[in-house]
Amino acid sequence: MAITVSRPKLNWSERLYLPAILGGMAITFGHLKNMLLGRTKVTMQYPEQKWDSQMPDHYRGAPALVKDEGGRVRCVACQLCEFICPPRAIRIVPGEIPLGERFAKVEKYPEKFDIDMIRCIYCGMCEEVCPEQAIFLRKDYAITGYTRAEMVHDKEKLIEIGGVMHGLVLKWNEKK
Amino acid sequence: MTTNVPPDLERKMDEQIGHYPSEQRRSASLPLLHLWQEHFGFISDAGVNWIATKLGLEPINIFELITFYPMLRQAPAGRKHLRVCRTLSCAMAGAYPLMENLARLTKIDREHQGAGMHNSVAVSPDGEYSIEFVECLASCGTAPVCMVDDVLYENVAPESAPELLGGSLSPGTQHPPPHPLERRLVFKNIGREGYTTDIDCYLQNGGYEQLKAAVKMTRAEIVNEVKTSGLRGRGGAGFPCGVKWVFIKPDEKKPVYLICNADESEPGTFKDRYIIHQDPHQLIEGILISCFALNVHTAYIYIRGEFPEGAKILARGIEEARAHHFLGRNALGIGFDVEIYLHRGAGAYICGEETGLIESLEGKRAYPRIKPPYFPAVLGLYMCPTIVNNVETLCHVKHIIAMGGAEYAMLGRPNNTGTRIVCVSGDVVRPGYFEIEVGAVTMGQLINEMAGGPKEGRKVKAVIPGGSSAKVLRADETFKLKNREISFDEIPMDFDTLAAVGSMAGSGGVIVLDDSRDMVWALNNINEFYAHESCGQCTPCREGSLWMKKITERMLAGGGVTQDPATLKNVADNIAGRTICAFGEACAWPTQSFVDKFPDDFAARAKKPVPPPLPPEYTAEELIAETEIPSVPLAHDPGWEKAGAAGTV
Amino acid sequence: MPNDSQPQLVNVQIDDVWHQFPKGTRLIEACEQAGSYVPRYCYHKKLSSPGNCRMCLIEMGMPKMGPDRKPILGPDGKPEINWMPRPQISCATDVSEGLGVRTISPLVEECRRGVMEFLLINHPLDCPICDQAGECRLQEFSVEYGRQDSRFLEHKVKKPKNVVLGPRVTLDDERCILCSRCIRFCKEIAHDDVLGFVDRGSHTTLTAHPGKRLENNYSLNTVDICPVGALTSSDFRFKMRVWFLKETNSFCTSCATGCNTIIGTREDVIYRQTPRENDAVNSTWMCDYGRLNFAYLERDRRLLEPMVRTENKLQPATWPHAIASAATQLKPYVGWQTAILASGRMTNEELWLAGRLAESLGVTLIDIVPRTGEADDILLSADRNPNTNGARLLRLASGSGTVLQQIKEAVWSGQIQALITLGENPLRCGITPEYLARLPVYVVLDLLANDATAQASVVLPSLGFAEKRGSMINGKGRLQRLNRAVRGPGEARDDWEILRDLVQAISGGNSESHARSGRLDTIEDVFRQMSEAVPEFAGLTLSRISDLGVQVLNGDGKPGNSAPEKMREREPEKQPQ
Repeated sequence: MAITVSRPKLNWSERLYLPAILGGMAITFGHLKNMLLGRTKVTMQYPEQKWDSQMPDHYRGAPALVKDEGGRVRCVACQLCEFICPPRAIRIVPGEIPLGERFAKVEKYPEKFDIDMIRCIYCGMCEEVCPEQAIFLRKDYAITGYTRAEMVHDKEKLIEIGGVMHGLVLKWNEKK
Repeated sequence: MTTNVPPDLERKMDEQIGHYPSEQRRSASLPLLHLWQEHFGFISDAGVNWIATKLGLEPINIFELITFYPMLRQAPAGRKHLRVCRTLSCAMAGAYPLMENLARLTKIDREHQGAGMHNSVAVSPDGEYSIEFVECLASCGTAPVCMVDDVLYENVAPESAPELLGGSLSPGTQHPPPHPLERRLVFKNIGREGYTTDIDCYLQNGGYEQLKAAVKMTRAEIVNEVKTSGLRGRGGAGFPCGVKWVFIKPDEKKPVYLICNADESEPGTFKDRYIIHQDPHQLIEGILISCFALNVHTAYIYIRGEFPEGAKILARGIEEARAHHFLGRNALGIGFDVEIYLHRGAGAYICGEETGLIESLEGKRAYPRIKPPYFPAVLGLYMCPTIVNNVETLCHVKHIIAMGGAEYAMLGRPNNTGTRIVCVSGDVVRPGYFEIEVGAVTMGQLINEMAGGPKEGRKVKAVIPGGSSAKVLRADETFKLKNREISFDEIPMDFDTLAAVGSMAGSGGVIVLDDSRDMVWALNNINEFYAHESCGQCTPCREGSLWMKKITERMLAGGGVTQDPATLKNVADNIAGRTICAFGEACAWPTQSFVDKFPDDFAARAKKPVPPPLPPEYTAEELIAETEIPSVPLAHDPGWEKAGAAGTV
Repeated sequence: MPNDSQPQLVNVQIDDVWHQFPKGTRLIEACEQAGSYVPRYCYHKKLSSPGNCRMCLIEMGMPKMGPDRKPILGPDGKPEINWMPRPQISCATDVSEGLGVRTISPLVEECRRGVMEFLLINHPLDCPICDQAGECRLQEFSVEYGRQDSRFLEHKVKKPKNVVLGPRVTLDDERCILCSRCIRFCKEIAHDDVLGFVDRGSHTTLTAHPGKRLENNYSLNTVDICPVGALTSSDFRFKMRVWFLKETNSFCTSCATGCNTIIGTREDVIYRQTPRENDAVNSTWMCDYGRLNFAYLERDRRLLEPMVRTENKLQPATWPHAIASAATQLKPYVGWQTAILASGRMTNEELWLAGRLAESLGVTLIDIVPRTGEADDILLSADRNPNTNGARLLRLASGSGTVLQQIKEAVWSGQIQALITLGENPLRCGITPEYLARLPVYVVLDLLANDATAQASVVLPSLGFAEKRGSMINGKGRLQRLNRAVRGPGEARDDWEILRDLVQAISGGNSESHARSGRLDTIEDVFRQMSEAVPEFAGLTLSRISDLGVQVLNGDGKPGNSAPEKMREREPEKQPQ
């Protein structure tokens, strides 16, 4: 059903348009004056210049895999992020850590871990669902590439973005 | 790998296998394991396989047993093997310092030989000695006690450790004369000058007369006498013996078995020890009368493994009785075939539970059976009707025949008839055993007059009246009965009143704690016993018993949290009444009652508002190697990450 | 008077409602049937009840008895119930007249919470790496009866992890809740007493005797019945989380037993097969051999496109070209010059069309290849063809392979000029490459490339058991249906479509069968056509075969129905052997 939108009734000063024009000009000339006096600086030279230092704490950038102080990639390939991911951007192939390896006690690790950044919507659900504190949304936002394949972050790339995180729960490290 | 089993040993094994029905060879597992260990010193993997093959079993069936029964070893012990009892009465009398002294003298570092681990034996570096802590050796009246190989040493003061190792300490017990308040029936001959275990000595004292009298009665008459006598089981539950016997149908088609429960292992109880060691024929006679009454052709005496001497005495007694035609084929010439076989346990408290005992006798782990449907009187040993009676109960049968059921019922009080042996241990001047008419003696008389009262300058603080699983009673409590209020000292020692005051007569083991005792410490000792002895079959007891022990241990170590008493109580509540067997109650009652009755002791050890950090099981260096990976700051701080700053969950 | 053939019914009150159950029903089953599911760990309906997990505690009561030994009736005319003060386990008791049960009450709730807490205090926080996560009883019941926080401040008991129990089973002892299901399974069903508990109390540990392995052919069933993630399949281990798996009801085609299965797949990849309960076939079990026999569907040498021999070389071709080429090559020969080697692994529909193919070519030499092995007395059948009974019913099997022998001789003598093999490798039954070299025309319909397909004139790639629909008759005469779990790879086509097209290309669309039953557009049409000709299938359609199958022949493979033998429910076996 069509909605009828009634035309606003203008009074005579509004029909004159002049007060609005003058108001607009005042703002423009105000800026001109500030610029001539050197009070404003309006252009930031991106990408040479970035706003990163002012990024708010809750900023959600690219998801990434982190390592802990022990150098262990914390992901154990539980695939919960793959399950929860609304746009199905995550793909994991789990594998078993061979006996004798340094972290063999953890038993499981992601053999492959791909996040399709074309699909990713930066919702942060992967971080929220992760039982291992292994995946975090970092502040990286400029995710670019020349091909679709380049836009898929593989495990190496994710670990590179992730880096080391301190102060996490070390639940696998109890001696057994 | 071939194992060289000497023909002599194999002959002994075959003899043991012959004690069980031919289709039940598995029952011979424990006897064979004992024989193997006696010969080879321990049970090797080859031994497991050999015995399994011998009995037509899978090796896992045998492996399950040797890991269940602590007396069975998988590694050699020292040339002298020392077992120190660590349970409550012995611990109060100094078992722990004794252990320390022994460990120091034998240069055994228990810390690094798996101390605290389940079922560990520590061997000295020269292989001369090995020591282990064991649970109750059933000689609480002469605490602390220590077994060197098969010999029990009593009243071993911690400072006499060198004499014990040097062999200059002599085993043996002092038997004080009967107290005037006693009424000796079963214990008439215990500690008597000149009384020996020989059958001749027993016959001279009127032995086997009741058996001869009994076989002239009809079976129904004997059962009726026992029923009339009102005899209640002396093993712990206090179930009327006559009622139990009536469960056996007179025209039963399946074979009926009688098992004498001589697995005395309730901490605080040491009555059966003396019957077995000093008056074996009284027990054998009691068993034979019961066999005749119940038409049993095969009876087993399940004797605990820690009574090796007792087993030998009983074995000799059985042979003597056979020589006198009291048992065997056509016993007493009345055409009745009856056999008694000995079956040695191997250190599991749970075998005192009748269905656990039956499973153990069948050669399995002593996992109690679910009731229903496995009531022993219906589906017992080998799924046949089975009566399981305590040693003392079976001895009373003899006296019931002697006196007549009606007259026996005059002893004691209504519904609490006869005499019973109470064992007093702990903080009293004269610990020991006393045979009293049930209910004729009060708690006050028992502790203060018969047992000599508390030690110099001490007051009785608490008493556990029926073995360590009974609920503890405070000495300054008053109890409301149906028609009157009584003080602690006025409690008559009978089944019903002890139940009415919120505890139980149990197995008659009275443990006295004086005002120097920390109740948290005492409870921890009891909890350790139950955590060690839980069979592990059903969930609440398996997990709860160890949990309670861990809590009390932490409280003792100074890590008690304000909510600990409440947690302890709740854990115990979650065990009691929810398990397969009565062990659930046995391990929950001490905790429930200790926490309930001594809140101040527990509050004093539960002061921390938040739990202390767990002692680390690793060092930071072990965990974290240096890395060159650059650290990137967190995009945001969800807060909960910090929870792990301490490094553990 | 109770009727002897009808089981006697008893009245049981469950959560204040009276129900009737046949005598001998386990109380825990009765509660489930009444809609009050009682949580359980150790209880398994096909095994004895040890009653050790204590999760199924309920309140129970017996009818109040009056002085005349008759139950006292309440105002509603039903017996009044005398409730027991202590909770009882429901897994070891049978229903009895007038029994009262409360599965919902504060006491029951408290018991379950207590047991859950006890089970969890020593359970590791392994869920993220545990294969059982998602189908774990401990997880499920902890949602209902678990605590939010932990009161357990102590260290957990440490036990061995990642223990290789046998070639196919891996054990994590810390996860084990000691329910003893696996031990009972090995003893009571597999008759291989290898598992047991060692140590005592909270330290009790599940293990096999050192030197013995859990390697019987039924070992993977212990993984299925393990209520937690203690026993895991070494094959499925860490491959895929179970919540991604699509489940398709099917049955195993590795022997004539035809154990009912669930195939777990994700995106056209099979990850596992698990048994599905069917008391007429396999109870709740299946053998390891059949369970793991699916990897061949993803082999590298799978045939992916039709091929036609041109200039003495097999060249890829389109389907119409391949079918036309096969038809053209086969047509010149008369019936006695052609032979068809069919397979006992084909579905009834495919066998039916193979029969029509033989008809259209006038072939009389047609047989299936017998495939036998050693049987056990549990599930595995000596006949390793899943559909021998179907082939016999459709008269394509000679029984003992006599026709097969004739075919072989006729190929050697040169009488046979054209051979069609349907899903069978002739090299496996004595027809060697030298024999094949004598054949001018050799048409192959198969899954995997082998030395025989290399000699073929036309290769028609077909589908495996998990990739198609169709029916088979198992050794006990039960008609069961395969369902499609995954799509076939490459251009491989459904066997029945290939056969239909071949028949139509040969008979020019005017064959007798075509005229008789009209068009064959779907496999349902094939079944309909077959059911019109075969009385045993009368009244059935492919879709109407239930997931549990339909009995169409009696146990001897003869026509007629017979009551299926239910795998017996084991009574508690407390007695040693």
